Amino acid sequence: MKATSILSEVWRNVVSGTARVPLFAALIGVIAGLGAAAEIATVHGLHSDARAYIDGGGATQYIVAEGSIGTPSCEALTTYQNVEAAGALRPTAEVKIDALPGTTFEAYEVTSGFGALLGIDSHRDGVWISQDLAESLGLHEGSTVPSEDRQLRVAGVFEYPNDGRDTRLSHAILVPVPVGAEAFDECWMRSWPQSPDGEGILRSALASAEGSEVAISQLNKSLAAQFDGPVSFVERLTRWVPLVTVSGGFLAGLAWTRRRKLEYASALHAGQSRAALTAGAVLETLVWALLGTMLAGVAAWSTALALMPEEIDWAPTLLIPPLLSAATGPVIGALCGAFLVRESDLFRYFKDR
Amino acid sequence: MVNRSRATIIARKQASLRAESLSHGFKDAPLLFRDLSFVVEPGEILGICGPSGSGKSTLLSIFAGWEKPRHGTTTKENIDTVNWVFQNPHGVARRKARDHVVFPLLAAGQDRLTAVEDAMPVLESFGLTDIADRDFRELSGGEAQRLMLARAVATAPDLLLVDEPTAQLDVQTSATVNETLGAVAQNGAIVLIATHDPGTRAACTRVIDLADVTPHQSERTA
Repeated sequence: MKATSILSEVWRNVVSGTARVPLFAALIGVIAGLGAAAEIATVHGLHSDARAYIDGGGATQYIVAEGSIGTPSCEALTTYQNVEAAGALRPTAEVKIDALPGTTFEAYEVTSGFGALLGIDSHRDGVWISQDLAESLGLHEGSTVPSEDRQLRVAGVFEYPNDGRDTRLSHAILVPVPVGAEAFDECWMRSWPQSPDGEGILRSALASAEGSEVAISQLNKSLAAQFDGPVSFVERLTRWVPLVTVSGGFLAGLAWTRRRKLEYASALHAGQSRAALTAGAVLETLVWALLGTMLAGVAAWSTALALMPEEIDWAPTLLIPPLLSAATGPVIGALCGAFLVRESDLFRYFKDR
Repeated sequence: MVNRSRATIIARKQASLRAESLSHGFKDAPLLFRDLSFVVEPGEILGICGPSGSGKSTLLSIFAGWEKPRHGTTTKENIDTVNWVFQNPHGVARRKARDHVVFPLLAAGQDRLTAVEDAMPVLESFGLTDIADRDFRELSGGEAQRLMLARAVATAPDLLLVDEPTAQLDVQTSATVNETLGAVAQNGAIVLIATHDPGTRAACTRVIDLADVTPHQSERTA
């Protein structure tokens, strides 16, 4: 059979509906789509877990060395790869608010880099307080409150939930100060992805190598010391999705061929070679397999873009394996199905009637 | 008519199908027929007639090589390809009637234009010109059966075995098939038709009646 004849037969089978392209494209689209959706959901879950870990303070560590933290070297930790924010902290005189006589609030001086740790714009003048403290005092960003012959302006309000993290800042007043020569007591750092040498990096904020006792701690000790995102990704259950989609595709391709068993047996009886029959079956299968996979790919990409637009660069790495295997499975199934057809299927069909 | 090379035509003219002293019956069952002998040549349409159960389809199976006769021999000379037409037409529901006759010509290596050109006279010989553009699923029983015969002719086998072509059809529809049956040998094939339909019998060029070669009661075991 000429190649042009094979192609024209494929075309006619597709447009006449013999090849059932819409039905099987939808089937493969569902298989590929479910596989891609499972992967997206898993990675979105991992991404959410990572976000929760970071937001919960798991990625924030601090070094405590009373009077030994150099503020310039602490702020300079952000030059290390993956260190997102760093700032120094030391206790200062307690603050009194005129409207609440008899109550004093712990206070800490912090360098400007500390604002990035808390999600605060450090360029405005004023103090920083937690959301809980702001609500209990009836204050908000921009509020001013009299305090011992001065007006305290609230320059920033930060989220500081009671989720197991160090509670010192939850009801304290933070007073931003410029970076200077005076040594501080603590240097805080948030790094992501986490560095295996976080302690070494924090130690580089010490003003001198010798000296007082040093303690290194994680902001939220209720969380694991390390969030092993890469390991979680590699060990995810959905890593088997490509195997599932290729298997599902294989069964679809096999079923598609077997339902045309009589037609194919008749074609062999009419003189078509097995090579021509197989070529035609594979080409027709490719039409619906690629169509279904492309539709699933568009849906998956759109979903990934909606859920995690900032992480969209990873999408091809994640989505190509299940989509490709969903497109490949039917071809292998059709090849096997075409191989299994026998001219005797035709004879058996009529002898059995 | 499908174009054939001169060598093929000469070879087809030299083809023959011979049965010598054929006797057959199923294991532990009485013989269906005994001492059947004949020769069939290209262009002949041999009707194998008899009532239901007389062994007509079994005889076709013997010539197809599916059954071994209990006694006697069959000889095929220059017969390489054997094609069947069964009593139930089977086609591709959503493809045109014409496509079913074009297909064997494409399979034989023709391009589509030539195949369509060659298919039309075959369709015409079976009275199918008017329905050539209809889907197979839209054909009547008689049209579908005639289409199967046309497809078999287009396949151009050396030996064509037709098993009860009108068995599933009513009398009127059977007549439409029988009217065009003479065209099955147009490509020089040797044609055997098993039938109990008088109309089909009349369309054959020669008839063997199995009732004439059925053993008497006392001779029914070999």
